[in-house]
Amino acid sequence: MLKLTILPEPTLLLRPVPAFIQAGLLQNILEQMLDEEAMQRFSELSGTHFLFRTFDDIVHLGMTFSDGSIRVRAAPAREADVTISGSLPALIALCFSLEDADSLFFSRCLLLTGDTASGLLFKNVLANLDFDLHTVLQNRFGARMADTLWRMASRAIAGIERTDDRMERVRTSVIRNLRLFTTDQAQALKTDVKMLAGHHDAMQHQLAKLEQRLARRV
Amino acid sequence: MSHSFGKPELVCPAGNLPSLKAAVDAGGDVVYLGFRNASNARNFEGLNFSAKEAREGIEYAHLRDARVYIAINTSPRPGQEDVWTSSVDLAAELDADAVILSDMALLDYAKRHYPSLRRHLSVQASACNYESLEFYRREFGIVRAVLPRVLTLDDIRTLIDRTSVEIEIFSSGGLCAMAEGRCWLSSYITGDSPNMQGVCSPAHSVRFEDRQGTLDVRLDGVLINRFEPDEAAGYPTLCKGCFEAAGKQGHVMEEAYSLNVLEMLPSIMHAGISALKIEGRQRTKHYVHEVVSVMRAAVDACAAAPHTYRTQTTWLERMNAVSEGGARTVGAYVDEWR
Repeated sequence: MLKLTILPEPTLLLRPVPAFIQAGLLQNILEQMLDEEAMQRFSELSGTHFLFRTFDDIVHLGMTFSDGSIRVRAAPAREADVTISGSLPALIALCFSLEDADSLFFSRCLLLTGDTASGLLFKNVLANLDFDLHTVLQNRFGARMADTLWRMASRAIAGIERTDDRMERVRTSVIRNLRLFTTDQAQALKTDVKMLAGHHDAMQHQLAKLEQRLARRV
Repeated sequence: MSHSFGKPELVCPAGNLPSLKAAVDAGGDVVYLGFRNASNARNFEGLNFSAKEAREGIEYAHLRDARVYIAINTSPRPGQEDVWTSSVDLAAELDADAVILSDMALLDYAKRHYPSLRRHLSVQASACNYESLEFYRREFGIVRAVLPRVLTLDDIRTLIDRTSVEIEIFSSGGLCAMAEGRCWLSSYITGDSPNMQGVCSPAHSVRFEDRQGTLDVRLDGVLINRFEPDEAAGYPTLCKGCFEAAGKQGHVMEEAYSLNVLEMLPSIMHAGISALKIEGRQRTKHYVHEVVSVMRAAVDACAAAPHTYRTQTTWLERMNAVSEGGARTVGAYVDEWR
């Protein structure tokens, strides 16, 4: 499984990409993925306006189904009936069926607002596609390039997972040491307070003696 | 009475063909599925199998020595009985290995028309004592029953002693308010229930509202839950909603925990349970693959060495990562749970 949502949010990289190119890309990908049967099932969604947006709104694309075809627009024609929002990795994971959509919803990486029934139908028809991203990459870029891309992505994700594990170990260790440090430091402070109190008593004693001497001279 | 220690079959969920393949490939013994109509208790938009997909799925499973059970476990609606009887006909025609039924008229129909087709009693029948199971066995020839999630493991042991019906229990996944087949909570607000329409909280009644990171969940306009920005979300069901009662606010009926029996697997297998059911036909192939892989590894490990069996932390982490609520419970199987 290619667990994309472990990746850091990369939408800023898309900011310089014009919205019409983003729309063309999404349309192209969906057309490749959706077979005739899927398009037939999507006919129930005819006239329903979808909006796909990243939480930071850098990606903001409209989509409609009509007459067995799909149309993605850079500028949504009207207010959406269904809005699917998410982190960019979560939206990609949803479109390519790379991760479980309900798990993404539980972890708040994905959100569905508006007409829930249409959104659910869209999600379930996508999940029903026996779609393999690796095979699509092979068809698109050739076996060698696709394998290289796949290896790179898998290694990057595995590397991030390892880094996450390391960070978790460091975090646990810091918390443990911090507790020890705090306990030790608190003990040291108590000793300092005791010492200061002792010094204070001694100084008061010295002061009292000094006052007595002064009084005798006067 | 001593119980035989057996290796229960793993009964895995599939709401679509990729999930069925994922379940079989991950080592599931059986996949259960429903047709794309109101005859099963997971009748959600875009989910379930057409006749063509079910045929392909059954062929895929049989070629790999796995079996397929068909859930036809809602109550036939007056005037539309043929939706349910034709689903039984289709299951038989497709060479399904069993049908999972709850309605008596449908059990009778299956027994009369397809006597050699195995009949299992669905959890939706809510049978939880041996007299009830024996009644269904005598009258309708059921060979297995899926128990509702209301019994302790001690109750289940007692029940196994007194019936020849094979016992299947839930091992993981979302928990209902433990009144399967009799729960009308969803119907109370939306008019639809899992027992009749096959849906709890039908999607047409659900609205999620984003309020600057806070997520409000409404069912036919009624606010049933509110999740803070970093809080794990759950399904929009009334039983897991947050309410105010007796001056306190919280989950009055049920927390969004998921069932997970990994840590009590040796006791379950010692009890003589025939099958472990994994909930989740509404989930995708990734969930199915993850949960079935873990359960397969755990059941095999426990069967090989029950006395030294230990639940691996990675198994729990993998299950928690895809579970509703991100937390686990052993539910009613132990007494402490409310």
